[in-house]
Amino acid sequence: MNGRNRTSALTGIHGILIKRLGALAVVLFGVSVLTFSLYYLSPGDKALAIAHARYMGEGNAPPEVVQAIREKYALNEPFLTQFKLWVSGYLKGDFGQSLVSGVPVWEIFLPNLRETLALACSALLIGLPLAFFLSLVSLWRPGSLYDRIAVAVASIGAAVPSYWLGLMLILVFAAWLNWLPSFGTGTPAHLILPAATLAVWITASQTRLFRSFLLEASSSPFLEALRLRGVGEKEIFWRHILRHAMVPAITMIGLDLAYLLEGAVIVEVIFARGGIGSLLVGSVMSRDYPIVLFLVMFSAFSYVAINSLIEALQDCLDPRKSLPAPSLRAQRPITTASATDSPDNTTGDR
Amino acid sequence: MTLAVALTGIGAAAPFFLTAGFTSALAGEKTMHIAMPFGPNSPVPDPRARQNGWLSNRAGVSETLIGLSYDMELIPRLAQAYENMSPTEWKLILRDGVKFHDGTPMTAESVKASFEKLGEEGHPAHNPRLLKLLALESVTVEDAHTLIFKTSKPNSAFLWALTEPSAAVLKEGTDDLPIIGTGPFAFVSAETEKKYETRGFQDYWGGEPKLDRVVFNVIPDASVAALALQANDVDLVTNYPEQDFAALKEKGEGQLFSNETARLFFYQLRTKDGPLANKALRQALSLGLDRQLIVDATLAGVGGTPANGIFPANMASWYNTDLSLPFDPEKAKTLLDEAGITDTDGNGIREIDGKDLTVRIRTYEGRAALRPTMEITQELLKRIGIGVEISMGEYAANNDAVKSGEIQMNLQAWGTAPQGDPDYFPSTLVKSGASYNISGYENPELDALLEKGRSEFDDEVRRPFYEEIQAIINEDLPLIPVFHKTQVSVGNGKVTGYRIHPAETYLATVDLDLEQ
Repeated sequence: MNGRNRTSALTGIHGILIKRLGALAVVLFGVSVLTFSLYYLSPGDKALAIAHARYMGEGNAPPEVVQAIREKYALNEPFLTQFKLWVSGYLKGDFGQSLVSGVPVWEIFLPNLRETLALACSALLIGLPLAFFLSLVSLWRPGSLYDRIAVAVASIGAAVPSYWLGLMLILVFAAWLNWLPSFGTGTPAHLILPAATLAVWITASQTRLFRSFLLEASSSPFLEALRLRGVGEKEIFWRHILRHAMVPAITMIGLDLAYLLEGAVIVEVIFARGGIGSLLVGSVMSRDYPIVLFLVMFSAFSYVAINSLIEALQDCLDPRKSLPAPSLRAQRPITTASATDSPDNTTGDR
Repeated sequence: MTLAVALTGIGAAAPFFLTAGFTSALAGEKTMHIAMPFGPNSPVPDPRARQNGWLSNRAGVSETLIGLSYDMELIPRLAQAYENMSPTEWKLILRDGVKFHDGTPMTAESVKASFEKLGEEGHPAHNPRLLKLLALESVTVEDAHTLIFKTSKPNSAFLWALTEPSAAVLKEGTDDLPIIGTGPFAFVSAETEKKYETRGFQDYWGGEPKLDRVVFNVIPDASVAALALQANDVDLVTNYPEQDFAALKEKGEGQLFSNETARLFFYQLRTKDGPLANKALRQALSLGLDRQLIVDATLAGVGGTPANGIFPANMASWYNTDLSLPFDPEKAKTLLDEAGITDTDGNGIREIDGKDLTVRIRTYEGRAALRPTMEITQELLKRIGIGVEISMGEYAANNDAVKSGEIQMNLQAWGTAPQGDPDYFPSTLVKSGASYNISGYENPELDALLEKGRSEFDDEVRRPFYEEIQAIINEDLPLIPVFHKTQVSVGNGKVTGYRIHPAETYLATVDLDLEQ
């Protein structure tokens, strides 16, 4: 079995890469057709909506200007002509310009992506260790008071809306205590409150999941076999339980990350930070379709990319899929290397 | 516990980051932080392009040749005098001693150069909309201080159109100073939808500004802006939440500013066909609207003023003082009864042509007061026996729905006189065949008055025409004015020299100051 794994892994690296890229292309094409169709079919005069956004107000643009916008952006052309125009730009690396400001989409996107990444990463850096800590508390004595408190904390965290929490944090730490800025970006201090707001949500969702993954892994039958072989509890936890629990956990963390890239709108707006989410909402409101289409494509791309990354990570972590590492054998000259594999083979055969 | 742990962590870290970036860059400098709901849409927003001028004009960076007073009357700005030479020619005499932010003097040549950029496709200042408003054909320099502006057709609104913030006079920018205007504040930097920063310009023609720096911060959520004021992160919030403003007013607290603006909330009606082709019914709708109740309920009584017509009272040059739009449900019922629109089956809804009368109303997202206004209207009209179906739509799609007769009323909010001239609003909305006349409304008398108003160049002569136009709209009701939006701002108690302009065109002036 090991031999078969090895050969498939060798050819597999290229194979997986090609398969992934192919899947990416298919997904992106599908999304582009869908998004563009929805945009094309959406009700209302697009030129008027653009004029409305560009000149900041209803009825601010004379009809000639609206007509000029319609002609300039080929808004009266049939679907295929408009779609081709758009796709051919993308293939040349030209993502278009904002219809409202005239600034290239890419230049608008980059600073917003920076804000979003900074926020998402800090939120994960605060939220994940907390979730890990709380799930360990749960695992320590399942069903005990501590476990229940951890579960309760997670449930409350999940129930608190970010809108309310964000405002409360501003009220306490900016308005009353005056420790932190109430809005904006620029310094690390500006990141703390919005990151904390999002971290509460991450902690809440990940604690419940991670707790159940850990509990499930710690009740696996192969652990008994390891204990009988005299493997210490510490090693059982770090090398076996945790490793098993990480496989599904990484999927969920990846999904959270993908969600944070687009879904932090409320926090972005409350803290007046800008970011991908609020950019998307603003662009939808002003019918700034080059930005909307780009962001939807980005979103599709990031989901596919993150999912591929998750699978790659899982392949490394999953003992069933990983190859027996020679270095591990060297470290552990006694029989345990094959022992680690055997229970997984059993699970695999089940 | 998660929250507690997270908060303790932040608490411990907080002192290290303390409010960096929120204190003035240099000690002793007077910097004012202002919160506003929208901001620049690019890092170098050329004031002449699109609607960028609105922000730079408010920020005191760019200036126009002619300005609008707080009574919405024409006032000299960069031009000290102006004269109509013929229906298509205007002479403007420039003010002496005006300097650009790079220290060079403003000359007739530089004004001409600035306006010529409007028509240059590809130039950042390219602005077809403004050219259309001005109907500008050419600019010629007569001498160092005198310019002749020629229009392609007679345009009685020309001087008013020159007050449009994008009609600004600018010099070509450089890398160091990308926007070179003439105002009391010079451009420093802009961050898209976040920040617009300026510094005081000592050589300003109108005297030295009192502030060294002004930072406009974009805070989209009004409650957050209010908290930022409480946290001392900003000195002035331009758009304060109305409910909180009313509460402060009640308690007699806070430094409050408010003024009526020219933004009108109104219903555009389908008059060509459908039930609202009936004038008596339109009049009954207007009489049934308790405008004060709408303002009290949607804007806490402080964010709006019930409309007496299409223009607000502070638009002194044009406002018709004789008009009113009373709330009189009894009269509304009488009118309906007389028109034969009565409730014969006793279900509380009047019938028209044997069927229950149902009016379909729609509005759009984007302005907080729109939806509640529509909801209260539904309830108010029910009380006079009119069935109403309401829904939310998209701005442009709603217009199409009125046009096709799918809906009968479309609640909108327009600036009724963005440049102070009274022609634009009626000419665009109610003139026969006008672009936004989706009502299908036609009134030859009104059309003739609008024509007269446009061909006349003396505002004193024009005035009676527009007074009559306002009266016809109130009587005929192709659109039903509801209320004029009042802007409410709150300062930290130290703000001086701040006034809310009816067209919200000016904010940072030489006089704007923070008391120590």
